[in-house]
Amino acid sequence: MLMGVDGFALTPTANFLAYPRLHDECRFPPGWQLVARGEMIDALVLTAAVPDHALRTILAHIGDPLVPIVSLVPDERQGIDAAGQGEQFAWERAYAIQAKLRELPVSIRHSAEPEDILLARVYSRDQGLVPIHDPGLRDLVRYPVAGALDNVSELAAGLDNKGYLRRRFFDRLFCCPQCRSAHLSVREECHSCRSANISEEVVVHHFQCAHEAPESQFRSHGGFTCPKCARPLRHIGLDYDKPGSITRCFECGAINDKPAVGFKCIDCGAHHAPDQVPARTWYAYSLTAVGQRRVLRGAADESLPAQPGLDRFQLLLDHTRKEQREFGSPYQVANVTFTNRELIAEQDLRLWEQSLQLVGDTLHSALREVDAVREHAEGFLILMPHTGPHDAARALQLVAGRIRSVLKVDPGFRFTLVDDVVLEGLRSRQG
Amino acid sequence: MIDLDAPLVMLGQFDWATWFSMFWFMVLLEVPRYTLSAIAVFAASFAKAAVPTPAEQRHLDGLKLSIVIAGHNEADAIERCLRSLGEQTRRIDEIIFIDDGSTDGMREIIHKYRLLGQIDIALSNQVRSGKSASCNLGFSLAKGDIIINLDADCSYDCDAIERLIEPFIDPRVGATTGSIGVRNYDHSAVTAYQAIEYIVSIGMGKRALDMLDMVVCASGAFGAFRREAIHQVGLLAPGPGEDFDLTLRLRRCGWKIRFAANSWCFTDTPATLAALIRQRRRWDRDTLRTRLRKFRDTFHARRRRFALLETFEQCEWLVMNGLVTLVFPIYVAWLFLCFGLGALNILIAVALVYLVLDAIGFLMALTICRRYSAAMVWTIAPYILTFGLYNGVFMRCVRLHAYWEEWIYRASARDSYSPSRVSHQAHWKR
Repeated sequence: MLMGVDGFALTPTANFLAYPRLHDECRFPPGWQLVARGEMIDALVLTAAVPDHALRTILAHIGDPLVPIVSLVPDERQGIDAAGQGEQFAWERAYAIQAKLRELPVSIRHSAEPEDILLARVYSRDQGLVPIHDPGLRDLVRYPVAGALDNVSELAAGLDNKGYLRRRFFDRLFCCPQCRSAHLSVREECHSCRSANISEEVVVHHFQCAHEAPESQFRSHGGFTCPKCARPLRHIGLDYDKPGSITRCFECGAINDKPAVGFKCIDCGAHHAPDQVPARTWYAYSLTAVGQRRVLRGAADESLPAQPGLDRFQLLLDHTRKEQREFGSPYQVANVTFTNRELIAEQDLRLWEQSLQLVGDTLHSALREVDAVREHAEGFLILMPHTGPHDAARALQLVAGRIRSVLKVDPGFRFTLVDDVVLEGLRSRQG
Repeated sequence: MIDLDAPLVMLGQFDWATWFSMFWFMVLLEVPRYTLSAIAVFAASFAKAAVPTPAEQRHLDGLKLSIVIAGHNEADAIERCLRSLGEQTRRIDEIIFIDDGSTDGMREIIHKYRLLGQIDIALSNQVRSGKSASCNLGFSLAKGDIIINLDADCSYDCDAIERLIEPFIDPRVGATTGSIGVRNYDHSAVTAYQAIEYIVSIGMGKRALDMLDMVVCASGAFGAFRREAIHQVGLLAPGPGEDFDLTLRLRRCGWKIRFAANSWCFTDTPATLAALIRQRRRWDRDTLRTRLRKFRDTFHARRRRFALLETFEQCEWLVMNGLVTLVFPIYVAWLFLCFGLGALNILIAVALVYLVLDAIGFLMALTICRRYSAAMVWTIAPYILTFGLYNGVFMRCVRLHAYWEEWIYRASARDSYSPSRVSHQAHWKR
């Protein structure tokens, strides 16, 4: 029975699809009606626990990635907009989303572009793209608002670059370099054989005879007796002390001071040393004013000022090209790559990530303010306005020297000055 | 003013009886002890060195070697030590490093080398336990048949370990020790004197003792021990002087101690006079304590494991070190009492004789060792002129002082070599 949902009026009437079926005694609020054949579905109402494949089928049938889905029973799955918070909340939530969807222009409302769908979902759900931890996923993190979209974090990062979304830190999770799963077991293990079958034992030092050995050698009849001189050890600090500890492996017998830390992937079973495990940073996103206009107008607004997150490199490149066309002012674009990249990353992935970050910082500090740097899959693109090829080469050689002095490893800094054709090729590959 | 020709004139004018009355100290005590043994060693050095037979070599190759290095604040020395161990011609099965409560980052460094695979076991004491306890921890964990105890601040010839274990062909050998050379001989006059001292004492002294089966100290800086032997005698006792003490206990249990003369280790010696005096006082105090307090029953003919050789060795030390050190100031006083200022002529004459003997001994030691570079010899050779004063006067005074403070005040028990909480319990609460 539906309780207390008769207090609000809806205009216009919205169609909903109840799945699997609406119970006979179930009442729905005024303004809602069961969808008739051929009519557009404004909301999907789940009245019982629905299996995943059934939900996928029904969503495919509906064919609208923005349609609100509410459940009258608790349901934690991706894409469910309201569940487990009461039926009234579910109906209200479905209506609120539908009302927001009605504000969208047709080009966005029915767009098949993932970026448009994501922006529309963020706008219609009115709660930002906030991730939550989900132990059932390989990534351990999902964005409920994103619904059935794939590669949400990449999409969101792209929208952040364009200035439509603004990101803030959510979490940083290690992931398996082999299968990218975040289901990693962090454990103490043996340095030699990497077994977790280890135990820590205190070392005892008997002052009088200078015998120092693991505690187990001193234990006898509930007390301590020195195995070397057979004297009883009664008083810590006076007869003996415990200056350290050892870690013993029960698999290979290795002994060491402290255990190693290792990561074992629960999904693929691979084992990794800490310096081989990359970390992935997750962000929560909120819609910016530019993003909101983009959603409501259905196209990018050229009149808006550039946001910090917008592609500064591209803007500067366009401007520089314009200057060259109009005033003949030269510019150079350098493609920086690293010949030792794979070698270093293979040996120590974390070191490579840190080195790359350091290279980025060095580039920004070494270049002029008018220059622009953009990272791409194989290195960096550097835009140098008002610069001839010789000056650019000289500047880049200086930069290479600085990078060599700053980095612990030699990344194999190489640069080539590229023309527009090559540049477009690089950009399209990046895209 | 003293006429510098007078001593030489005087030496030429003495008849044999006068010679003896003047130089009885040297003729009776020192010439037989040092010169005769030097001649014996020199003669023996021309004999062909024994090479292990194929069967013996197989036996040596089958021995598992564990190296135990314990140190306190030795962070700067570790790399050089490990580099020389990495160059060894003999396979090393296990390297155990113990950081004894260091505050200079030694712990992090040994862990770094463990991660690099250059150290097998790296352990740390959170608080300093002393050299003996740290080494004992390493000894008790070592799995090798032969346990080699080294110092982190030493470096080794590439065949040092191979040569060091050669005497273990003989199953009666419980420990071996190798030759120790001075690495910083050109640092100061003090290190140059010590370089000469080490050359003569290692090149001649220890070889002579080895010939007589009287090696009594397998150095903690460069000694190898049969695992079975050191576990039989209960590993190291609380320091200082723990290596000497362990060696004496091994000898008492019937194990032989051998000197591997061709196995070379190099170390930095104290570079200042104050540091040298401190080091020698500690050594001499430990020697006196160990010999005359802990092992005084060597002189008891009715003890259960009386061994004539042990008693002889103790007596030899008592006469040639203890007695000589005590008699030396009496001798000098007697000279001045009998001859007034003429005693100076006698002492200068004695110094001249010593100079000749030292030079001969030095050359013989160099010939026997065949290990030192010409540059080193030329650097330290001038110091031979005054080495007699260093060794015969200065060192004797230091030794006399050390014996005094040990015999009267038991100063070794308060030595900072071990932490006070440990030495207090070890030496005063027995």
